[in-house]
Amino acid sequence: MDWSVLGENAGLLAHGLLVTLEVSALALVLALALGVIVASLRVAPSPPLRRVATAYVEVLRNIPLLVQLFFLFFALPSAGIRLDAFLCGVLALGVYTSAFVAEAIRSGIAAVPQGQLEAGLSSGMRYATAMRTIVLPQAVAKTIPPLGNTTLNLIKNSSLVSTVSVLDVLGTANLIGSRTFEYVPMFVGAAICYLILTIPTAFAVNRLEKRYAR
Amino acid sequence: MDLSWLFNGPTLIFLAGGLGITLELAAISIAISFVAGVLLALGRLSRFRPLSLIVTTYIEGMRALPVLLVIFFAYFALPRILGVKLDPFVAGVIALSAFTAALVAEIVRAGILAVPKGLTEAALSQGLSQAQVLRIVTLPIAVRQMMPALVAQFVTLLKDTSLTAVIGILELTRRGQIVFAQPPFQPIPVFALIALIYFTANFGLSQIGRRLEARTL
Repeated sequence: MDWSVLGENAGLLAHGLLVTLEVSALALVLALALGVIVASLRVAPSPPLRRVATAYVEVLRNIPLLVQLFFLFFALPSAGIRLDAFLCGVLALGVYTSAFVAEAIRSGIAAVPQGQLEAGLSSGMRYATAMRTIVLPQAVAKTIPPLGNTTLNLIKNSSLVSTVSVLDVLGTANLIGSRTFEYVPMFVGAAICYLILTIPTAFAVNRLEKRYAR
Repeated sequence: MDLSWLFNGPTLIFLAGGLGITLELAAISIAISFVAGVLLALGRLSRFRPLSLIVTTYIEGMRALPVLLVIFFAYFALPRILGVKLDPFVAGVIALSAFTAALVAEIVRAGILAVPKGLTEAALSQGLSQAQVLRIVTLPIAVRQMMPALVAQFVTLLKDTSLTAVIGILELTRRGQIVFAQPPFQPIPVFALIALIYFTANFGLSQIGRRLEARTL
């Protein structure tokens, strides 16, 4: 085992770290946006809308992310839709995670007493206004801890983009490992990169959890 | 649309074999990670500091890493450390079990901590030994508490088995790739079928979990 390979390729790994961050950040934005919409539909007054949203969550949660990613990368081109690997990664990761975000928000909304919504509606608010100004702000507090965990999982799941040739942390480590056969140092280096990302996130999640634990 | 290239005996048997390997991987890893997870949880709760420290480091470290990295490590790096060649299936089981055990350990620990202290104290004061209390009182109650989280974790594990496709295990996802890489090169129906199979398996596992919950509560 030659650990100097790690030093020689530190720059490439750091670049991979940047790519991992980029994929994670973009996917998180997408997941939050879609998740909020789907969660609102899951508690909507219209049963068909609720059913569509439930199906969305159940389907996405129960199919492996890798299959969804491969679908975008390998199957869509046969339908004439060609997306580059990075975009496939962001889309797959964002859409997959949105199901977990929606679940986290839904359980947060469910924890807000029904009377709050009814009070808003009976004082003449439209459903969307009551949701936005009364229910959602209260739900957010209960949603923060599970959302933190979802974010942590998203960062870890972003490593799957390496399977469609994106050079994130894992992709870079794997590539250099396969060229030099120094897999051990490269994977240890990759592990350190992930710890740099996940440990502070986990720490922040823990603190938020303690603050909102009531 | 003619789908006879997909819905014919040999192809379906090929894919069913992949599902078999997927389920085998999941079942073996569930069994190992459950036993290891309980042991790790007990280790973390141990009053012997060095043991609790080592186990905590392992659990927190594993939880901070992507499972795909653990799989790559087990397949490419572990043989270099151990000096033996590992079969992909064995590497897959090692990686999935080592990873899931850390998550199971946290679920078990939360379950054990949720058991009221009075119950264990009552059992101890009746003259039961520490081990008996753990086996007869603490664990059965803890298992009931942690059933939903445990089942969710095993659904995650079943999904994670798909990642072993990248180290060449011929499980469901890998076999799907092989099927659509052949004429007539139509990936969409193949993916639809594979997704449906995973969905059914995971949904079924969740339902079994729900039934277990209802029975144990």
